Amino acid sequence: MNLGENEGIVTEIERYAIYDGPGIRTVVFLKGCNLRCAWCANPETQNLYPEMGFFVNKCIGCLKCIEACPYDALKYEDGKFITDRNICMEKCYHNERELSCVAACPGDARVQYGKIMTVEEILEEVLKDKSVYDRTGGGVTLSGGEPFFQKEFMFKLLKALRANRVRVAIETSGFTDWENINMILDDLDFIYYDIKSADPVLHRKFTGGSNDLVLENVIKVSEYAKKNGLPIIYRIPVIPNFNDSKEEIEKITKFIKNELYRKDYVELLSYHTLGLGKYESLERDYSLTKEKITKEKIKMLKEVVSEAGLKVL
Amino acid sequence: MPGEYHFGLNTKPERTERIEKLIDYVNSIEPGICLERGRYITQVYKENEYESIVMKRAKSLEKILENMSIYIMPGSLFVGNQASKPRWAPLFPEYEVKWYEEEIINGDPMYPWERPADAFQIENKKESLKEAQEIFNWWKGKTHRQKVYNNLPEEFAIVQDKVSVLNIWDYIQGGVGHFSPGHRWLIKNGLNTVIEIAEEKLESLGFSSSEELKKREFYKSVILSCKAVINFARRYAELARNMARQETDDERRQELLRIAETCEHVPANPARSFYEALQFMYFIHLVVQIEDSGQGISVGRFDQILWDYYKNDLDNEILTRDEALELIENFFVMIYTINKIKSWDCTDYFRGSPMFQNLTIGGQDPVTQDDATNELTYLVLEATANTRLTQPSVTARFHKKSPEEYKLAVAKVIRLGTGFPAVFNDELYIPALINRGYEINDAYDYCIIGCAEAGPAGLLAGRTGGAWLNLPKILELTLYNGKDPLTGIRLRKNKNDKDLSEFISFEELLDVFYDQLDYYLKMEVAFENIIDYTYEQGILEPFSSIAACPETSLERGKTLREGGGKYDFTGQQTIGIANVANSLYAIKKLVFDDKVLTGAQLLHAISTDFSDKTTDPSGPEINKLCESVDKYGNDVDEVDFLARDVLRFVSSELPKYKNTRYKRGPIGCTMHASTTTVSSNVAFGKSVGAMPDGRRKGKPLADGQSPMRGTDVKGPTAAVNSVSKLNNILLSCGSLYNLKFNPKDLRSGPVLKGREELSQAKFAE
Repeated sequence: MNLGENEGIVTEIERYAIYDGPGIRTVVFLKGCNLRCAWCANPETQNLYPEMGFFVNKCIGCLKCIEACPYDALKYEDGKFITDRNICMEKCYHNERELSCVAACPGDARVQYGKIMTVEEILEEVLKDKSVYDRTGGGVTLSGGEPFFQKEFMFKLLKALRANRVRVAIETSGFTDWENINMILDDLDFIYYDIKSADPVLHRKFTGGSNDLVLENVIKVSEYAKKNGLPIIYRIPVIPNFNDSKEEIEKITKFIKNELYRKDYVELLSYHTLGLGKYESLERDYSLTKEKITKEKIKMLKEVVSEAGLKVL
Repeated sequence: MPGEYHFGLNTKPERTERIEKLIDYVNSIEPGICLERGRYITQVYKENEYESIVMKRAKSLEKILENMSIYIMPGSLFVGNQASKPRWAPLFPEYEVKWYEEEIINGDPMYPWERPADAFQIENKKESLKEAQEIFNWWKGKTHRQKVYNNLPEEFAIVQDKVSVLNIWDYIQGGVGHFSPGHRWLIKNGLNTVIEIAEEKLESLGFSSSEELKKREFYKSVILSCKAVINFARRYAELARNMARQETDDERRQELLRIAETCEHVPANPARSFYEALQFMYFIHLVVQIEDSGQGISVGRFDQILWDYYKNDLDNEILTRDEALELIENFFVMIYTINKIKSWDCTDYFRGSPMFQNLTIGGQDPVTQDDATNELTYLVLEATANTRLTQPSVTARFHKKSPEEYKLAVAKVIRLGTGFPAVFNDELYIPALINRGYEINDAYDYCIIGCAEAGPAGLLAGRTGGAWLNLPKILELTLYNGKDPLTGIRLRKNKNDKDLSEFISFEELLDVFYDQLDYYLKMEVAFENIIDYTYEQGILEPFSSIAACPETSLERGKTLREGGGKYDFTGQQTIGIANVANSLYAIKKLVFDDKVLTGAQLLHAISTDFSDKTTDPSGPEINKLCESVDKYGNDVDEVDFLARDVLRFVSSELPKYKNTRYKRGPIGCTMHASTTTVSSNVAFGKSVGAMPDGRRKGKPLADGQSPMRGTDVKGPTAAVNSVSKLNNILLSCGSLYNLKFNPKDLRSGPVLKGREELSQAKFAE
């Protein structure tokens, strides 16, 4: 995709976010991620290009999308829609700023994941709630995907937000070069940092990436946070058969306790399958279990963290 | 005690034994119809046919208060009852017997005791129905309703009864109500002072003009009704003493004796304590709802009116905080016992038998403009959480300097999910009132009356409620060149004689829509004035007049209907602004900007309720198209500004029209607009066909100035932004926005604070 100098790809801008930092916030979800976590609840945020999602239950059967596709990627046969996603990928996703099939859909059955936006366009949207941020101690949270995946764009956006006196938080996997993180720490008011596993093999198996970089970076981030009074919450997504055992959580806890400088809060995020519909809309397979983690188990794991002397959310 | 938890919130209210028993007692009684008032007023009217209107009313009040059954609820520290049992509804046959007869006698469309909701029982059915029939027979042809219809041009009746452009049945079938008594003045002076003033006035009046003679009648009726109220209180004193004599429990005996002493003293004399002040207030609050069937009698600024009494009692150690809390809760239960039966038709607009007995806390001092919250403010919030009754309607005033502690306490009660308190914004309401001519101190002293209407207690006459105006219906008529698709009735063609299939531009559509709107607004104004004129011909209330505006009505010798208030406005309720803005914008976008549809296609689609599958695009496709256009409530200027402009038209046109008290004494005397809804959006929705906003035929409309349900998809901050783009300051009769949250999101400390901050956020702008 040829993006303009000042452009990035945004999956969503969510206003009135109350679980992504202090106060009332707007979360800007930047598209693209360098990890492929098996449990990812937002698969539509992973690729750095627009994609088409199809919600068959909302389809009214007008077939306008088929007429509209210039590449004949869509077919309707025997009462079923068939999408040649290879054609979409080759012809469309990297060339079309607005997907023709989505534009033609009179309902909301076809959606475009990923909108090309300029910094100014994002700014216009998020500043609508500036008075709310100011009153509630809120601001903007940069999330993803992985916000560092579009780092140049993200840096520009961050600077623009700071220039408009908006407080900024970030939600990151930490899977990026240290200098990228170091570059923006001064401009942040709050960090959510994922620590998914302390085990390198498991980490690579479930996320597609090594945890070396993640752990090296978090040590430095925590040192900065301690020195500069930057609030930081370490987030552990609790995933079945990956890290939902006492031993795995103990390992992470031990790492936080022994290696990190600042260790205010650890947040355990319980595994959920709310993203399944999105997998279906992208016609992608979901490899993990559909069973939830029990409340008792989460409670037990939280105790593991708190028994180590860490504050747990 | 571990209570029942709902999303982490304790759902079990904390109550003292007394309050728990009282609430159980009241709730154990099914609402019913009480004939007593109907019986006595009919007797008085029969015997006094040639008396003046005010004297007929005063004599009726005297007769009713002297003869109606009275009772004291077990354990209650306060007395006063509206009908023979708690939550039973008295009959007001002077207003209307047509629906009484249809429903109570003939069961058309159903008997009140067979209603699926808001049902009313009747005791001793055979005898009661016989007596009821006799009462109804006498009133036929003499009722307020009959007189309204005599005064109403035929096409007006069609607009309401057939096409549902507006609905003002509440004031055709019942009284005005909608005021907040001057409790502060009354409690301080006592009814004996009112009688003295009236006697002095009577003394000084001559017999030389019809005006003087009329005033004499007024003062005589005031004296008679005040004496009747004092005697009513004495009946309770006597009853309490008799009960005390038979009471075996020593504590209860003392309580009954205290009730007796109190009722011998108030409301004749000024209250001397917090307890007496509450009993005084309740008598006034109650009697105006026996004299007249008008609802929306507001208690006013409870924490301000009673603060001196509370503080004094605390200083003198004759009252503790806990005792005061229990008294307030007991007072709430008393208010909860008051009820009214409406016709089944009218019930559609007022589901859940709401009485709109509003009680206001917080806000600012009228003189210093400092924050006015005090300990009583918090006691009211506690009482609200503990009683969790549907009445009183508790209202919290917020302003820029409201303390954090107060706002959080309010938010905590809101999250219990009882719908109370409603939050009102001083920063908006006070300038809105000043813009209508209120003096600054009076504007700062406003309380909420009825649903969401602002006005100072003791000073405002007129009525804050009026016709429901069905805005989407007016747009629908415009789209069909003035013809109602449901009934086929065409009241008035568009001025260019075109329908949606023929408009050549969006501007043309807007132009004819505003022309139709203007026509129906004029008609609404005429409706309002005809009704007020009719009240003046038959129903003038001496006691309500001195209760509502003691100082001005006594000084001028006039009832409220004749200009007895310091201020006087006629309100109304504008419904469905979201549907209108969304429909207009959908037409603009689909037909004129993007040209995806022709006007003819869209008109066909809505006239067939989006169900015609033979067209291209098909009805369901057009429905999807309509739904996918941006909607009001998502912070999208283009559509939000349409809502703003249409609502501004309504709210700036109405005040150009005078009401029937113009130049008769009060300040104001114009119409003005509100967006309060109750359940009229559901009732009106039944008469509006499918609309270009994608809403299907017969479905409910949007409430208040809230976005249409399910269409505000960008979260509450975006929705609040949209709502605040409206020129809310022009809605001096009240603006209503329902913001609904998932209880889960109000659970924890910081989040609750966030939600509370959000309701505050708009104040900064």
